[in-house]
Amino acid sequence: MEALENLSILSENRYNTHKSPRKDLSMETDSKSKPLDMKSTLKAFIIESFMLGAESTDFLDEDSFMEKGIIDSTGVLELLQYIEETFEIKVEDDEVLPENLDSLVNLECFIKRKTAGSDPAQ
Amino acid sequence: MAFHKHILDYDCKAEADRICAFLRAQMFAFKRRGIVIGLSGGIDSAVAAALCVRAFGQRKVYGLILPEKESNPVSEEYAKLHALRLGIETVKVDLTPVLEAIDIYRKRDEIIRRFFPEYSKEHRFKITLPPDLLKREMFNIFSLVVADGSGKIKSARLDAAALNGIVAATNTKQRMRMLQLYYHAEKMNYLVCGTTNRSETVQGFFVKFGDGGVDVEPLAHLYKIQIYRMSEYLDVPEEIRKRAPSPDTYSFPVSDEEFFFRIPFEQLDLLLYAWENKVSVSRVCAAMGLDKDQVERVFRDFSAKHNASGHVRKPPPALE
Repeated sequence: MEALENLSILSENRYNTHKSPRKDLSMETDSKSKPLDMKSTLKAFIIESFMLGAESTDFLDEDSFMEKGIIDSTGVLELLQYIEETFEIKVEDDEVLPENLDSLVNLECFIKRKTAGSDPAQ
Repeated sequence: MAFHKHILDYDCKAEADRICAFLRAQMFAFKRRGIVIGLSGGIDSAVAAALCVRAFGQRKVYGLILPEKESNPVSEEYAKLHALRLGIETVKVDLTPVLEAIDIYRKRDEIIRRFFPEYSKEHRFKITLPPDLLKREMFNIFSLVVADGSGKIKSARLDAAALNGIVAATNTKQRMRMLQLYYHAEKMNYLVCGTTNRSETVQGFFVKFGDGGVDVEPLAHLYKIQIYRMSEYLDVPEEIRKRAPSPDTYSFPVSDEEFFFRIPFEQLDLLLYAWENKVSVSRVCAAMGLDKDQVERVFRDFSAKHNASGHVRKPPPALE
């Protein structure tokens, strides 16, 4: 597939019902004013975005979002947008795979690989 | 249980008789005078129309041809051809004016221009899923594909808001067809005949209150390859039988396989049967010459689609 051209999804986002401005992770805190780690930040996003009305919001880090019915295919698109904006990474089409996105553990590993790869100090 | 490549073979005559008996029973239960059917020029509506004529006779079957400006012209041509052969009365209603009146095309095109600002009336577009589910594991992520007047093709991955907007606009076409079918059916005290097959029903490949908004579904128990067998038995025109299945919803032609199923029907239906009947993965591999990863991947896809589309198959939930 050809790369996106003239894409401006992040600006004039009037079609987006989910507002997700870039989050400074240092500002994310828990109730005791401590910064949340990446996994906790991701988990908070998933619960807020995809588990409205769920009787329980408990899930394991290794649980498959798809198999557990937490996220559907449209939700994957929302998740992609969130991690691209929040962690300033670009997820290529051939990276949209369950092994990269379909659990908290997979997500965290994938984001860390992507952000490490883009770090000029590396 | 037994599982082999011919597990979906069946007696077309016996099944046609059974479906006709079902249709007649429903007609009597509903207390209606005839049946209305939308003729898309595709194989499902062709088979359903032929079965309706077999069940009730020509005079009790009324065909609606419901194109809009982005429909493939052969759809209308094939629908008319088959209606003539069946000897049924038809009426054509062009849905373009009403779709334009509610601004569906413009709203959808605005979304497309977020990705391709050059998109104009000379362009055509479709949305597709990743191909080759048997070859690789990928999420069901839609891409927007546009072609300009010279045939140059570009694509872009859709975001959730854009996908939802395009799907909402597209589904409006199916829902507008439902309005027309019910207007004519109720005016004549007729039933509305559905044309959804089993491969579509199980995976939710129909529009809620669109092509899913009907009174009776005579084909919902037959897999797509069984529909093809029935079409040969019922002497559906060859042009229709040879036509690649398509939703015929986008200006850029897209097949059912590209748009939703990701596997050819010849393999899809056998795998779907196996999944529905809990045939072991090893048995499926042996019968179809596939490996364990392939079969498990397809079964996961079926589960995801089936679970996501439960609400489309059931009546709205309510408290007791």
